[in-house]
Parts: sequence; structure tokens; C-alpha cells
Amino acid sequence: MSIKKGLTILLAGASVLTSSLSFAAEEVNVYSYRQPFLIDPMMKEFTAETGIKVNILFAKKGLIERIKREGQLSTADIMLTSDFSRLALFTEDGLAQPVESKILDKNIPAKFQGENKQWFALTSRTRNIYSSVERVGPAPDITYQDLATPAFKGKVCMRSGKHPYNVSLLASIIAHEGEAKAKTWLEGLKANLARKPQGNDRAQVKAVKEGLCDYALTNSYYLGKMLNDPKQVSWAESVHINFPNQATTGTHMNVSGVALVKHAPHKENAIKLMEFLSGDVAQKMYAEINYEYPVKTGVKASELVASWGEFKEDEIKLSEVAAQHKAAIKLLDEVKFDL
Amino acid sequence: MSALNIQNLSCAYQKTPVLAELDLTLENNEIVCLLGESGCGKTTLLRAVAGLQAELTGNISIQQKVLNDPQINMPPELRKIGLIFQDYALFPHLNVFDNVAFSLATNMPKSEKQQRVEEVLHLVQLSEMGKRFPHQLSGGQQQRIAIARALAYQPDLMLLDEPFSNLDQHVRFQLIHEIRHLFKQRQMSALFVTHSKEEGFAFADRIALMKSGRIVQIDTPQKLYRAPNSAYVADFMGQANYIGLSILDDYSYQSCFGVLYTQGKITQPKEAELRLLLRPEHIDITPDESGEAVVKQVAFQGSSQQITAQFSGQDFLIKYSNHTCDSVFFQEGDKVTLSLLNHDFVVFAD
Amino acid sequence: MISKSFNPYKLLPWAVTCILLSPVLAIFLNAFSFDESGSFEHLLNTVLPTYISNSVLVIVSVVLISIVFALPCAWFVACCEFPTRQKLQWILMLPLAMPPYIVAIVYTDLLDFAGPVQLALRGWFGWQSIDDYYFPDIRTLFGASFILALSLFPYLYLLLRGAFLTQSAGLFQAARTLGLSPYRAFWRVSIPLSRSAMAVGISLIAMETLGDFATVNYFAVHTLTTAIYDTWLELGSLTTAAKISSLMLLVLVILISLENYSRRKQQVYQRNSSGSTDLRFYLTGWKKWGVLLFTWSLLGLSLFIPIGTLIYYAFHYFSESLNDQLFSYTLNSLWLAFLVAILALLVALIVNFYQRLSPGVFAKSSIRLSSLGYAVPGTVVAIGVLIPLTSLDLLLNDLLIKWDVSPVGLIFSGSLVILVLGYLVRFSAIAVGSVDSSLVQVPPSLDLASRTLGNGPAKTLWRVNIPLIKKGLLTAFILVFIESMKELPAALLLRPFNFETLATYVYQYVSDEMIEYAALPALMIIALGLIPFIVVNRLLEQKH
Repeated sequence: MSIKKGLTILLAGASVLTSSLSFAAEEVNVYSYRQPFLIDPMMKEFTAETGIKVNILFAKKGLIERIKREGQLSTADIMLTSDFSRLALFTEDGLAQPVESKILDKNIPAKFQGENKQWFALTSRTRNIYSSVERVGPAPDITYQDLATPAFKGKVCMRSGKHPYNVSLLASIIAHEGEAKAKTWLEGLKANLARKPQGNDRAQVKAVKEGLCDYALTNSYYLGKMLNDPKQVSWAESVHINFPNQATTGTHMNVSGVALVKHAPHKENAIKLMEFLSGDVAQKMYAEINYEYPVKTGVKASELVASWGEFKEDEIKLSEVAAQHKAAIKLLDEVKFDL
Repeated sequence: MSALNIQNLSCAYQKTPVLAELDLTLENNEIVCLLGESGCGKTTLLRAVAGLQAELTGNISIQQKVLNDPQINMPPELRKIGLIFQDYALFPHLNVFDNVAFSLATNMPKSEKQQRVEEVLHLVQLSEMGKRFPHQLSGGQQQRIAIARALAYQPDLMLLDEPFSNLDQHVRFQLIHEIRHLFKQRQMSALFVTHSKEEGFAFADRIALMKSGRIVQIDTPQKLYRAPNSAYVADFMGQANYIGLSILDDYSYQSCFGVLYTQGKITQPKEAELRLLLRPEHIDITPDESGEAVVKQVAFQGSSQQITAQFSGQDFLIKYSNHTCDSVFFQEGDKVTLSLLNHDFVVFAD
Repeated sequence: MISKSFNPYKLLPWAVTCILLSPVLAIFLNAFSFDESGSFEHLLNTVLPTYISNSVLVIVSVVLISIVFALPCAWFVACCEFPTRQKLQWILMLPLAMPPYIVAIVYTDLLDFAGPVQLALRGWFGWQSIDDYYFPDIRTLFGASFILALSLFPYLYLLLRGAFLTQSAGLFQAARTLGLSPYRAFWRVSIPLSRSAMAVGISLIAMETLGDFATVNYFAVHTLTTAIYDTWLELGSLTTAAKISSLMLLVLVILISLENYSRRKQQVYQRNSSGSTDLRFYLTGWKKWGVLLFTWSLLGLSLFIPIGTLIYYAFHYFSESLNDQLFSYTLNSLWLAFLVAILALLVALIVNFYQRLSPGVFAKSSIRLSSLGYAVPGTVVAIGVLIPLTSLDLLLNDLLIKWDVSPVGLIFSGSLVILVLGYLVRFSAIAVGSVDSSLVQVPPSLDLASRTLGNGPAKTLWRVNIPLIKKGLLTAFILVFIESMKELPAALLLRPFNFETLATYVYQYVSDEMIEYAALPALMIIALGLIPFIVVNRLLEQKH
């Protein structure tokens, strides 16, 4: 027996053991920064429709690095993220490939597409300022800039500045007003915080309910989730949701998105999945289950989300915001925002 | 006032008595040896005095100081007792100097400390060893350091638990003499535990032989050897032969060696079954073609021969000194005559 | 005949060390490559000083609090006699099975301003706002340290108890007869004598603390680990992250070597002091109640309150959290932890016996080096493992293509191989340390006796040494098993598709602070960690 033949047999044997490797055609591999329970319903629907099995690997950190290391051997087809700064990092490193698909082009407006169609947003959410029903009432004219003014001293709660949602809000402010002004704003905001940045978005709403602060900086869909949790509904009912900057730049939007991995072994299936996720069925599910705003025009937000009213979106290009991502991180360090 | 006074001391371990109503008194400047087989309670007694034994009853005092009585059980650190362990118990994390200085008050001025340590190190002849760690010393040196450490504490009483058993023969007796000399010089009273009578002979003023939690006999080594109060003591202190005796009249016995006359009046009742203790050196042996005794075994021991001879249906162990130029070297099968040398009779009634 | 020819067995320990070290080396090498982003300078000028001081403070406080917890417990259990002592012996080890990130959530949840404790207090006393009363803020450096210490102190307890039990009782008594009260004898003799156990325990705790991210992050405390994640995952500079990791490791190595150096003159020969049991202090009166209060309330904090809270949640969200996959995740966790524990034992045996057979600087350093991975944060280890394994995969596939064999893809980095290796890199230190400390207590004369009785080194190992260190081996096994059950960051990043462990499953909820849904699987993690603990302890107790 030749060495080569022996090696082939050995390696074939070894590859049986590796559950990630599978030569079955009908599957697609997803690296996801989003929790499985958020995307499972759509993936199940996709499998039901197409017969393509979806394998998911979820982590909060390091997936990009893993794909980078795996190189052309990576089995990952699709990268799902919960914010666009990760998408930007991903494409910057040349890990994505452009996707030409009429369906995607039709479903996803141009402003929700990355440069050279290297990534696509699937849902969008607003960064809202919640105000206490008891102590403040509705605040329709509030702006992000207000939060840094002396009138708000000791009244604001928010999670870590380094969280992607806050980083992208800061990046958008840098993109709009420049770094110097953004820094002043960040310093003002820090001075107004009722407590050191901590907890998640829900925890901020809870803090408003308990009277620790009057305003909370929180994403839109959390309100929907809390209203549907019998134990948390009282927190949700203690706040008004406000869409900031209506008179100026508009409310900051973040997106969750998807990109096709450069060396995707199941490219066709991957594009099918991307198309499916941008389609009516999946978009409707995103809206109904996760209370996010669908990106596809014509798909309505859920009734609950719609009841929060129409609002003006920040129309700035996401790629411009993404370009300020690192600057935002460094600014947070300079101001020692979390410390 | 005595250096140590123990009265009615009892101690049980899991319902088995280890010490049974024991009394013991140490005079000032006296070294007493607790001798006995393992399990006789001698170590327990030592630990009781040191305050390391829980659950005991009885009284212990040193001079006027009460260590134990029905109300008091003084903790070991207040007893002012020096305890020397079989394994020396030197602190491996401290060097010799710090070991010796261990008991000195932490706030003692450095120069005074230095002086005290040097003084006792000098006493044990290890002045140069202060910087060494215990594991760098030989067994004998470790034991000297242990003694120096106890001396630096200026204890009222010194307790030694099998202090010489880990040393080899050569070092052992040299150290015993040295330490005895040192204790005598410092007027130190000491209680010393061993299972070796030779150590007891060499080190102690008096020996207390223990058995099953009691002291069977306490006296000077010489007395213990020559006038044991029981066969147990006699056997423990050295090799022994016994012959049966019957009483003839107030001043004589009948034995296999003929009639033996005593100096004092015989006190035992007439019909008692008596045994006479004969140490090997109490029997004389002479070659005799017509002798009634036969040599069965000879062990040459340099200065002497240890001979087993059969006489009147009984084996006798005999020590024969080779100190004169006409000494005989016995051989197996030699016909001999045995006779008794003049000595104080020790007679036990069974 | 003595053969001087090449012996392939001697290569084994070095192969093992190299494999375990390769991820750390990969990180180190990255640290020395040129970094054009200037991230390091940026960090240095902004938050790094605070991160460093926070790291030092967290480590120091975790260590100090752990000592306050572990030292009295170890001493009470080893040297005193009081009711429930027998049970406490092993129950005090159980907090090890508690994943600190779960304990952290339970306590932040309970003690938060909006949590049930403060809510209840406000209800009872009619306080309105935060200004009406004082309540210690749990989300502080001290809070984080306290929680970490709650689940880490058993390491120190375990080691100290062992040290106290093997210490010659005579030394303590010698100190007493030299005029020291039990309390002072404890400080001047027992403590210095247990220094090596103390040092090992402290360095384990320090490394575990340094590598922790999840827990301190919940408490909004930012440490060097935060810096590593920020620079690398947000600023995309692996070089800077590697630099910081290397700095952390360097400091740690220096500290550990210093400690070793300061102990160089001490050579503590352990004696088997027989009958140390009847030398225990019988505690009575207030002392007894004090000890009972201390030990059991410590267990209440570290064990009963978190488990109770989890049970409460699991009960109320039972239908939501029970699903058909939970069983398969449990199985995954179990066999993975089992496999890693066995392999870690093998590593420990190979490395330690190499040192025993051919002692020297090289052998000693192989022990040290194989343990370095423990102090590296899980995600960094994960990437560290990815670097050599993906390179190996790429190389292999290139070769195969060159030889006209169909390529096999990522057979190392895309399979469980990488996960197992990642765990080994992180946890071998525990097994190596545990085996090391039990092996030094086996007198070398026993080896010699066996060798002169005609047994080769391997046979001696099998017939003499392994039976003698059985207890150490079991301890090592349990500790690695439990750590592997709890392990999160490396598992998240390195697992293959469709492979969930209980920990990764818990994390998807925990990462969103939805502890209600995570309670049931979290309880499974704890239960599965507790069971082998209890079983093995029972086995050991029956034998004695």
C-alpha cells in the first residue's frame, strides 16, 4: 500500500469524526453573533421550504477571527451579525464576497447594502430614549444631544459604552458632528449618568421603574419583548418610548445583517438563505417575533411596534458611520466612559 | 517542694485505661527515666505533664504551680516546660538561630536575643550553626538544637520523649553523657521517656519502670537491677535465671545448688513456692570432667563469654569474664561445674 | 545493560509541552510583530493604567477574600472537632462546581437597586429613593472580587486542608510547649509551614481571576482582559491584544518565580504524623457556634443561595426552558469533560514523571510551561489554539493537493480536536499541579526500591507511584472535569457546528441576562459537577 493511499484512508477516517465536515450538498453553515433563539424560527422555516439544513455556530466574540484563521478551508458560508460595525470589520478584512442577486436588490434598499454588495442589512432597530412615565412623561422633542446637557444631571442610565449599539450611536455622532464635538457630548453624557454604565438594555428600563434614573438609552425591540413577558411588563409600562432627534438628524438606526463568506463552500445555498431572510416570510417573522423593523419595503412592522408611531430615521449612510467605529472606541477610552 | 508532683493520674483512651491512678514525684535537680515497653503509657504520661493530653483526671504540679487538678487544666504554653521530641520537631521553615529564639519574646531587644541564643548554642557546642536550616544538620546536631531551643526557654522542667532513639549507637551515648552533664550543671530537672534500659542507666538518677499504666518500681538504676521487686522488673532490667526454693528454716533455703543461707530472717510463709533470681554474672562456671553440668551453647563476646549450660534439668545463662590470662574458652559439650557467687538474694513468691 | 541509544519516550514530555505551549507561543510571537495601528500607545495613554490597577486590585482582593474564607475553614476542618465537621470536609469543596458567571448574575440580580432584596427593604422601611438609605453597591470591584472568591476559595481550602493534615502535629505541639497559645502557634508555625500550599492555591486563584472576563464584566469592572478584548475584537489589533496578554503572563511568571525563590532554602519533609485525629481541638460553647456560623453561612452564600435562586427560576420557567435538546447538550458536556479530564491526567503524568525520572532545569521548566495556558483568558486561548491548528490544516491540505489526494478540509481546527486541545491548554495546569504536589510526597527511596527489585521505570510508575498518588489523581480528575463543565469562552468559539454544551447553551440566554431561561441548564451544570465530587469523596472516605 502506498503512503498516499494509506494517508487518504486515514484522513477519510478522520474526517468522519469531524462533525463540521459534511459533503452533503443540502446544507448551509452560519456563523452567528446573534443568539440562536432569535433566529431559529426563520431558519426552521427556511429548512421547511427548501429542504436545506442550517447549521449554526453562535458566539459573541471572535467569530471573525476564526474565519480569518480558517482561510480558504473555512466551512462557514454566512456571517450573521447583530450590528453593522462587525459587518464593516468583516468586509474590511476581505472576508466577504459580493453577492449579485436580483431578489436581494429588490428586497433590500440600497442604503441597507454594504459597499460592492458585500453585506446586507436584514432588520433595523432604533436607539431610543425611554422616559419615566411617573416623573417625566412623554418627551417627543428629546435629542441625544440633550442627554449631555446639565439639565439631565444624574438622570440618565445606559449600558456599557463599548456595547456595539452604543458604539454605533457614538460613531454616527462623530460622522455627523466631527470628533471634537462628539467628545464634548460624550463627556457631558458621562457626567450625567446616574450610575456607572452597567447591565443590559432591559436593566436600564428596570432602573427607571425603580426610580434610579429618569431616562434610559435603549433599543426599540426590548420594549416589545418586555411587554410580552408577564414578569417584566410592569417595567415596560413605567416608561414612554421616545424617538430622538426628530427635528434634526433623525433617530439613529442600527441594523442586524448578513454577509457571504469569501470561501463559502455552499455558496448557492447561502445565497438562497440570504434571499429567504430578506423575503416577505422571514421579514414578517423578524417583525412579529423580535419586534425589529423589517428592511424590506412593504413589510409592515408589528402592530405593537407600529403603535409607537411614525418617526424620522437618520438617513446617514451606514458605511459612513461604520468608518468611525474605531474612532468611537478610542474616544470611549479617552473619556474613560465605562470607568 | 518537688520539681514535679503527680498524684492519682488516670487517663483512658476509648475506655481502655492508659494511665491508672499513677503517682510520681521528681526531686529538684533530678533526672527520672520512664522506662517500659511500647504501650505502657509512658509517652501518655509525658504528654499529660506537657498539657498535650486531653481527658485526664488527677493532680499534676511543678513546685507550687498547679498544672492539673479537678478544676484546672493549664494549657501547654503556660506550663513553662521544655519538651524534646523523638523527631526533634525543629521548625523546617526557620534556621537554627530562629528555632532557638522561637520562644523568646518578640519584643526582646535584638542584642539580648543574640546573647541568649549564643549562650545556649555554646552549651550544646553548635555555636557556628546559627544560619543553617534544620535539614542541613545531622541527627545528633538536630537533637542538640532541639535541646538548645528548650533551654533558651528556661523551662522549670524538661521532658524528653525518646530523644536518642533516632541516633546511631556511637553518637547516642556521647550525647547522653553530654546532656546529662549539661542538665546537672544547669540544675535542670528532667523526665525522660525511653524503651531502652541502657539509655535509662546512662542518663537517669532514678528509673520508673512502667507497665499497663502503672509504675511497677521506681528507684536508682543500680537498685532496680539488683533489687527488683518483681520478676517483671527483673526480666526487664537484664537477663535472669530462676531456680526453685523451698524454705528449710528461718535462715536457709533448699535449692538445686544445695542449701543457701540468708543474712536476714526469712519472712515468707513456709509453704510458699519461691523462686530465686540469678543474674548470669552470679553463677560461676569451672571446667570439670566429672561435673554434672554440660555446656550447650557458647557466644563469644570479647570481654566475656555468654554460656548456656544444662544443670539439674534446667538451662542456665552464665556470663563468664575473660579478664585473666588463664581464662578458659568453653566449647559445646564441655562438662562443667556451676556454683553460686556471693550476692544478695532476690526471692520472688509466685 | 545500559543503553545510551536514542530513547523515543524521552521525546514524549517535550512533545506534550510543545503542543500545550504552541497556542501561548503563537500569541507571544504575535506580540512581537509590528503594529501599525498604534493601539497600544492609544491604550497606554487612556485607559490602560486604570485597567492595570483594576486587575491588580481585583486579583489582590480575590486572593485576600479567598484567604479569609479558606484559611479558617481549612484549619477548623483539619485541626478541630465540632459537629458536622465530617460533612463540611467535602461540602466546602462543592462551590467549585458553581460557574462564577452564573453566581455573578444571581447576585447582581438579587442585590441590584431594582432587585428583590433592595425592593423588599424599601417596602419594609418605606424608603422612597436611593438617597434614603445606604446599600453597598454590588457592581463594584469589591462586589466582583467577593463573588469570584465565593467560587474560587475552595482551591485554596483544598490545598491548605491537605497541608494542615500532613503537617507534623509535633511541630505545633513543640510551639505550644515553647509558650505559644494555639492562636499564635497557628500563625508562627502552621501558616509558614503551609506556605507552599498557600502559594500554589493563591497562584491558581490569581490565574483564574486574571483569565476571567465574564464575571467582572457583569460587575462593570474593567480589567486588562477587557483591554485585550477591546483592542483585538473592536480595534482589530491582535498584536496589541497579544502584547497585553504577554505582559500579563510575564508579571505572573515573575511573581511565581519570586515566591519559589524565596522558598528555596526551605525543604519541608512531610512526615506521616499518625494519630493527628486525636489531637484535634474539641470546640465547645461560643467557639463551636462561631465556627458553625462561619462555615455554614459561607456555604449559604456560595452554594445554597445561588442554587436556591436557580431552582426558583427553573421551577417558574420550567416549560419554557425544558426542551428535547437539553439531554443531548448534557451528554455533550459530560463526555467532553470526561475526555478532557482523562487527557489532562495523562499530560500531568507524562510531564511529572519526566521530572521524577530525569530531574533538572528542563524537566522543571516543562512543568511550568505546560501550565501557562491557565492564566490566559479563554477567548485568547481559543485564538491561540486556532493559529497553529489552522496552519496545520492549511499545510496538510496543500500537501494533499500536491499529491493529488482530495483535500480533507479543517480536520483539526474544524473538529472537536481543537476544542479538546483548547480545554487542555487551559486546564492542564490544574492536573499537573495536583499530581505534582502528591508525587513529591512519595519518597524517592520507594522508586529506588522498586527499581532494584527488577521493575523498569514504567513498571515502577504503574506499580508503585500511581497507586500511591491515587488520591491526587482523582482530585485532578474532578477539578479538570468541573472546570471543563463550566468552561465557556473557548467552547463558544472553538466548537464545531451544531455542537452545544450546557455552558454554551446557558450562555445564549445569560448573554442577554435572561437568567430565567438559563436556570434549568445551569442547574444541570452544577449537578453534574457535584455528582462526581460526592461519589469520589465517598469512595475515598470508605477506604480510610
